[in-house]
Amino acid sequence: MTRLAAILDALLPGDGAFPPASGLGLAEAMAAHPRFAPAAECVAAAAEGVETLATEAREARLREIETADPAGFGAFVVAAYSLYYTHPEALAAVERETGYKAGPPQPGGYALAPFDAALLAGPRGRAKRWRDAP
Amino acid sequence: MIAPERDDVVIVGAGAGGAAAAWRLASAGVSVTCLEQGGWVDHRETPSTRADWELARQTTHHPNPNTRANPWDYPVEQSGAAIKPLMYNAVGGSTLHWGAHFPRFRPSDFKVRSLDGVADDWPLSYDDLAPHYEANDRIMGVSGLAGDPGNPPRGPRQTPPLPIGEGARRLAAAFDRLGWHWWVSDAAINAAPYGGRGACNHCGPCDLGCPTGARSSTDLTYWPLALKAGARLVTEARVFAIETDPAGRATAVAYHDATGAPRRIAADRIVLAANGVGTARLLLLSAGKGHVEGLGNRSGLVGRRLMHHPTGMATGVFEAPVDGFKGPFATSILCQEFYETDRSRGFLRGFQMQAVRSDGPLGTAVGVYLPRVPWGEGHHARFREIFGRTASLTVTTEDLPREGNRVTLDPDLTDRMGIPAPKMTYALDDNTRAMIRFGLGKAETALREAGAREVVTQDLVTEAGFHLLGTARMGEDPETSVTDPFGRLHDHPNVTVADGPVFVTAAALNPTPTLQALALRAADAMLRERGA
Repeated sequence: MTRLAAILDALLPGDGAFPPASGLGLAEAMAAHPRFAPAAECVAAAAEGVETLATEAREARLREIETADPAGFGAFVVAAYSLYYTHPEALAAVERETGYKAGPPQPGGYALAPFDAALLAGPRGRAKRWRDAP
Repeated sequence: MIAPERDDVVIVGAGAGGAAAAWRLASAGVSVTCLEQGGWVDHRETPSTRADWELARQTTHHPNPNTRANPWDYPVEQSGAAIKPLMYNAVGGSTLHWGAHFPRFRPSDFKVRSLDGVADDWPLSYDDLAPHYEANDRIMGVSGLAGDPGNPPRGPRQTPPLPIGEGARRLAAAFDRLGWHWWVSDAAINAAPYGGRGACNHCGPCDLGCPTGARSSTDLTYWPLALKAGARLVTEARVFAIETDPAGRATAVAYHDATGAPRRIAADRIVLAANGVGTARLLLLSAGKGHVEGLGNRSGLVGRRLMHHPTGMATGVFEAPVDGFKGPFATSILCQEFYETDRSRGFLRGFQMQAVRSDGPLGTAVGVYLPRVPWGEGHHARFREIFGRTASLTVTTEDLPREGNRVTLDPDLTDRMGIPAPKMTYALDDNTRAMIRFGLGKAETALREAGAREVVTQDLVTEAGFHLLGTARMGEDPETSVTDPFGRLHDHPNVTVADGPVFVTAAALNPTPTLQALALRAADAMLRERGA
C-alpha cells in the first residue's frame, strides 16, 4: 500500500457498508486531481514513513501533523471526503444504510407533502408585531 | 452581441439590480445597453443533474470566487475579512447562486436612528418602496402566504407556500409552544408554474441552478422581458472605468470585450449594479482629475460601511430522519420573534431565525450545518448519526455600519486583465457578537423544544458574505453620503447606483427584494427626469 493510500485509510477506514478509501482507489484519484493533488503531496511529504506504522501509531502521527498545520491538513481532509462521498460505491453505501437516493437530485427531485396552511392558525391569530416608523 | 458606440443608458452588471433597471427602462422605450462580466448559464446543465454535483459545489461552483476561480470572476483579497465574499458573475449575477429566501425589510429597518438611536435613517421609508416591492414580486414570482402579523400587509403571493418538510414542521410546532412568532417564508421559487417557468421539484441545492426554472434568477425573469423590450446585453464585458468630462459629467464606460480588447461605450446615463464589492471597486478605479479619490467619493465613503449579515448557526440532530436534503435548502419558515430592538437583551436591533434544511452526503461530511465529521475510526458512525437527521436555524443579524469595514483596491492583486482587485477588510463589533450569542441561545431552545437530542452551534459562519451592502450609501447630504435618495452620485448625477451598495443600514433580512425595489425606484426617477 502506498503512503497516500495508508493515510487515506486512516481517515476513512470503512465500516459496515462503507468501504475503506483504498477500496475505492482514492489515492490514485487524489494524486491525479488538479485541485486536490497539492494537498495530498503536502501531507504525504509530512508523513514520511507513516505507511510502515501500526494503525494506532499511524493515527497518532497524523494527528500530530494535523495539529502542526490545521489548515493544510484540513484541506487534505476536505479533498479526501470530496472524492470519497462522490464515488458511486460510497454513495451506494449511503443509500444502503440510510435510504438516501444515490443519484443526482435532478431531474427527479423529491416528493414532499404540500404546506398545510392550518399550521398557521396560531401565528395568524397573534397581534401585530412590527413597529411603525416615522 | 457587439456593443454600440453609444447608448442612452449603459448598465454595468446584469444581476438582481441591473436586470430590474434594464427591464424598467427598456419597457418605457429607453435605449439601454448592459455590460456583464460573465456569460449566460444554461440551467439544463446544472451540476445537480450530475452524480458529482456535491463535488462541483465544493470546487467549480463554489460560491466564493476565490475558490471557484471561474474565468468570468475576479479575485477578492479576503485575508482581512472575518466573513468571506460570495458572489457570482454571469447574466443573472448572484441570483444564479442563491437560496432565494425573499423577505422584505420592515418599516423600522429604514429608521433605525429615529427609533433606536443607532446608525442612520434611510432617506426613504417602507411605504416609498412598497409599490416597487409589489412590482418586483410579480416579475420574480414569489411563493408564500400573505397575512403575517409580523410584517406589513402585502398582495397575494404569486404561488402557494413551498412544502416546509419535517424539520421545519417540528420547529413550527416548537415556536407555537414557546409562543414565538413564525411564518412560512416568502421565496423566489415557484411552488406552481408561474411566469413561463416550472414548479419546484424539491431537489435541494437551489444554489447550483434550477433546470425546471422554478428558482427565480434574473436571467430567467427580468432579462427575457428586457430583451424583448429592446434592451441590449453584452456578455463577457469586463468594465474597468467610468470616464468623465472636465465638468465631472460621466461620459462613457471603458471595458475589455470577450477577446480582451479595450473598448468604450459613450452614454448619457450610467447605472452601476455590480454588488457592494464590484461597484465600489469600479468607483475607486474611476479616479480622475477633480475626483482623485474615486468617482463620487467627496464624502470619502465609497467602499466604506461594508455590511453583511453576520450569521450564527444552530443545528439540531434528531433521533429519527427528517430528510432535510429534500426541499429548497434555504427556505421554509422564519421566526422574527427577536427582530425589533429590546434594550434589555444587551444589544441594539435584532435578528431573524431562518429554518434551513440540510445537505447531501458530501456536504454533511465536510461540514456545512454541523462541523466537519471527524476522520478516523468513528467517522462512519458519526456520519450515520447525523445524515438526514438534522435541521438548522440561522441567526441572521443586523450589521450596523462602521467605516473601518470597507472595500479598497488591493495594491498587488489583479484580475486576469491586470485590473486591480478589490480588498475586503471586515470585523464584527461587540453588538453583533452579543446578538449572535443571544440568538444562538434562543435557537437552541427552539431546537430542543422541537425534539433535537443534540444541538451544535457555530458562532459565525465565515463563508456567508453573500449580502454585500452599504459601500456607496444614499443620503441627503453630499458630505455624509455617496448618492442621493434615488441612487444618483451627488457629484456626478448622471451616474446611478441601483444595487445593494446604496443601503444605509442592512436590516437583518435577505436584501434582494429591497435592492431590486430600489433599482426599480431609481429607474422610475430616471424616467421622470426624461419626461417619459
